[in-house]
Amino acid sequence: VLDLVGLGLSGLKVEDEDVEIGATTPLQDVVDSPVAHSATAGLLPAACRAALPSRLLRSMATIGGEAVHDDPDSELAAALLALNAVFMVSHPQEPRESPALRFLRRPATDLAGGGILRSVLIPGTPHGAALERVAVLPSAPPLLAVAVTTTFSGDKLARVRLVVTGLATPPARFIEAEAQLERTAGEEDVLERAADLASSHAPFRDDPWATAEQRRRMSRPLLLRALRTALERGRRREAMGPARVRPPLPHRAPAPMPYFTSGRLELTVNGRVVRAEAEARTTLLDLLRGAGVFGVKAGCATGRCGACTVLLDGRPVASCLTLAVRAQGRTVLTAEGLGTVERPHPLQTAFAEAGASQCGFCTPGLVLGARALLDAVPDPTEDEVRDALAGLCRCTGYAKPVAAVLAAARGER
Amino acid sequence: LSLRRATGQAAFAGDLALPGTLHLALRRSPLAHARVVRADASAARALPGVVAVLVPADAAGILSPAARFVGDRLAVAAAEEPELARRAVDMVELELEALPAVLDLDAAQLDESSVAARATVAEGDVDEALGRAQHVVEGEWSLPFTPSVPLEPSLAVTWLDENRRLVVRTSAESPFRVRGILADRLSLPAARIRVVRPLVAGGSLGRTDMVIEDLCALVTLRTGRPARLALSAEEELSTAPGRPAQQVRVRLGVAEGRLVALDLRLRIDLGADGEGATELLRWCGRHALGLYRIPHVRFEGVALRTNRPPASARRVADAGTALAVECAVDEAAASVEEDAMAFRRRHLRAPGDPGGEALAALGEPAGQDDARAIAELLRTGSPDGGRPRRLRLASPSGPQRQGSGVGIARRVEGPEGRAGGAALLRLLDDGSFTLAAGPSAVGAADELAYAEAAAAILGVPPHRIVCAAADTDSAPYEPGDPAPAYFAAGRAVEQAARDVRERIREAGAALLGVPVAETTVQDGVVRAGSGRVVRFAEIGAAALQAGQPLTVTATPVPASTPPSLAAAFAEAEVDLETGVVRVMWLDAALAGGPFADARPIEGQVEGALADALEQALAAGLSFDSEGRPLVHSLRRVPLLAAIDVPPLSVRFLPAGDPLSRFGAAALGEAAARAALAAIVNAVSRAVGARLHELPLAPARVLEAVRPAPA
Repeated sequence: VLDLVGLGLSGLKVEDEDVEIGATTPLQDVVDSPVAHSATAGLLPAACRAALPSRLLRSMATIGGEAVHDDPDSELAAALLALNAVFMVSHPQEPRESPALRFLRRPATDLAGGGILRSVLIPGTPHGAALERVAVLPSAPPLLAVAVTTTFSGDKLARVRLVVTGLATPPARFIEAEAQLERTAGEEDVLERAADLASSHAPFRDDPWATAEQRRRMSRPLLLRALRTALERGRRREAMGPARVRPPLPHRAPAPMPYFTSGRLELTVNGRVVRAEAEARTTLLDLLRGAGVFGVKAGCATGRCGACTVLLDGRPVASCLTLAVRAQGRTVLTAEGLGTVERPHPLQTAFAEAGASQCGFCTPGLVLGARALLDAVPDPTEDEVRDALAGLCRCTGYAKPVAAVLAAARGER
Repeated sequence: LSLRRATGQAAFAGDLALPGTLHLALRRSPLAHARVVRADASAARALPGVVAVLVPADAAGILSPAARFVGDRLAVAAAEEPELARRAVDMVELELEALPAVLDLDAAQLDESSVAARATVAEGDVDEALGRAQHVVEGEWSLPFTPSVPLEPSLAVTWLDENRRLVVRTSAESPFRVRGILADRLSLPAARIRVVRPLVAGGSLGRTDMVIEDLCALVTLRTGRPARLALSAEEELSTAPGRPAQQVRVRLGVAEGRLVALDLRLRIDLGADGEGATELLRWCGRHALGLYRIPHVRFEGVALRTNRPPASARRVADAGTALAVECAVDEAAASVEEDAMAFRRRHLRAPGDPGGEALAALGEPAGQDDARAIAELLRTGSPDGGRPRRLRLASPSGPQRQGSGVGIARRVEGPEGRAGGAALLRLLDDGSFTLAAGPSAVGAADELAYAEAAAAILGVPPHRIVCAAADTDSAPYEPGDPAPAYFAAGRAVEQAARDVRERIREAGAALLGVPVAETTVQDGVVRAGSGRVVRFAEIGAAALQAGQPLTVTATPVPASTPPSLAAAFAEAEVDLETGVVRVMWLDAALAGGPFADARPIEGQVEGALADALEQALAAGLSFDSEGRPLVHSLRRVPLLAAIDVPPLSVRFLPAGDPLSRFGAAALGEAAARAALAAIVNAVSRAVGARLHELPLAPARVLEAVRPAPA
């Protein structure tokens, strides 16, 4: 395993009008960044939240990783297209700058022959943006999403970017529709013609959730809404989404062993030194459970259920998606280390008092996700708590876990 | 106990490591129906580190030589490493002969051999009454196969103890049921098998069925080594028993403002197993016919076997008929322009009303009277109940429309669910107690509530009572049927505690040398009138020395099990342009209580409301024409996250026995059914059209709002 977190590719930089985001920057850092908010009219943080509606997963997933992932429904890819992002690729021969239009169509092409995505550059700043989606549930991937950015020159639209997902291909821009909008004032009939054009020409996908024809029917109103909203916001120079920017998570330390095949690892788990043999592919979850730390639960193996959440140097991670070597020399905290039945942490007491467990399988993960949230955000809103409950609970309907975290937050203040 | 959960101390099936454990992997059928012509495991067995590979010829009675659904078990490999087991099992050479597969209800119904059970009851003359009705509501409702997706996929660990007795640690709910099936399949006396069931993840979703324990046990018996078989989340999704797909056809007649006839036809797909079909059909009929007073009723149910994954007949499997009736009644109320709640209240069924014979044939206890309680529950959701939540119609402007909906549900135990519970309570020589109770419930409420109830009766702090795990060696026998565990076991615990208290008092009086009537029991001592005391510890020690340990087994069979009754209210907002449904709030009123501690019960009901929301909007697995699931990856399955859940509220109207802390049974199930109906009714009101097919996904809602041009 070659760990790219160690090459110093994380972080956001501002140069002139441009923002450059290191490829290994976690999405949660983008969400928490005032710069990412102001430089993208709020679109990039909003897309990160929509694409990964879990604080846990956002604090692990990187912008580069998500961009090369080739997910046809990615709202993040849609946003990067709408923002004219440029992908900066280091290459053994010569570095490349690949525009989103080219890179996102097939990331493998630009990375072939030893390329590494170094950063994503967002040039300029649009005046307005919008992101609209149709989904079965807010947390589910969209059947269809539309991202729009607008840039004005006086009263006229100087530039419009219009991106649609839910296609048989990766998210795509509709350049003809954009051209119809540019150099107009965005009159209603112009918007309707552009929406008609994009809606009728988009190669929508058939899948168990909707047919291509059903997606086409949903797309027209969605396109119109996104266009109207982006236009209105652009006129008022108003950014999307909550302006409440939160302090960033604890810094993610560089990889202690950038190159690893197998060997003995040493880490501190709940204050105890654990030494274990590991291979490159051994997960932190397997290492911890192998060491008898059973409060870390093995659930879905995809990071989604959150039952395996631990804090790695204070940062929440799904241990099923974290290689054990990442924890070399570091500190891991699990529910057992947070507190015990005799000396519980206030959050654990709050969970017990609220009656927040039914079967209890998810509880250790929820408690740790909540701990990470309260460390970063001592006074969370209910929405922030819901977003930060690291994973799924199949028994409680979340009402009591949410109440427990809010009560613990009040108690700590 | 909850602190144990929050501090990572609570153990589930997988939370155990035994040295020398073999890891198992399964080979599954790619075909919906097929015969194994040839299975050659020689290459797989030759792999270093592979200890056993079993194909149908090696495991008669456990691995079937015929695959009954896509994902059925065909071979198992046991190896030192999980990876290696997976590699080995993939190397088994299989030659399959495809057989004709029955993949939907229409095909199954044409084939009498697919019928697992039928139930037909009728009273009055339905056809004649429908012919005379001024208005007939008609519709066919359909619910998809719904995997339950517990967070811990099914898992078993098996080993031989020092007496070479088989020990099975399982994630399936009922240890006694697992033991019975294993004894049968492995041809072992039940006494040679010990089944231990620690906490069960997602028990409320239904984990009563045994999925993998037999294979794991077989490997242990063959190799003498511990074995562990853990399904992946994907295997769990596509092969573990889910809720059955079902279709319900309703005709509901209204004449002169009254419900006059109900004709209900149910087809339910139990997949490859078809177990429990007869009882399931009776549930389905009872819960749909028992709500309203309708003079002419007919219920025809058929449970079918298909080449789809097995469905569980046990937990919330009977949602379809109740939903269909609740939706049709809403429409009937609208047809006479009456408020949906007033219309319901006017028709609630009382004892002596017509329809009783049909209900009795479906297992309804005689004299069951829920009308007044349900009317009370409905009142809490209406203006005269002090909650201004009128069912309101949509606002006219913009693409969003709102609508409110109501649904009621009742769950009444049939004869099979009226079994009692059992509790075993023992006083030790230090004055503490051990307690084992069954049927073993799986929610948070159980053990804590049992210990607290016993402690209150015995007059000791709850921590002096230690609950034993669900273990066939120590727990009192339980049949593992859908008896409402909390109620039945809770009552048994209360009786055991009262009996032990009486025996302690008698023993204490003897030690003090005073008549029993002059003693009192409190704070862990028996006290004589003179003030002299003898401690529980002394009584326990004396009893042991006398060779008469103070142990009580209580197995009360309650005269009746309280019905579980619920009314639910919901408000939904529908985007008419995109078909997106948002439920704004969900609210439930239940008859139940008093409770020692309402929080765990409240939490269980909130979970049931969320479950109904998922079922209404998102859940369900569909299959292609070959019977393969269309979604394989858990990533693509919409599962309710915290951000998806609207405000929930739950309230209880006391209904149970005021002397017991266990005054309700299976509240979650009634709440889930009522909430499902409330949501579907709210959405139907918002869009102004009836929706008949779950889930109410955007594409489907859009079709209901604006049918696609022909």
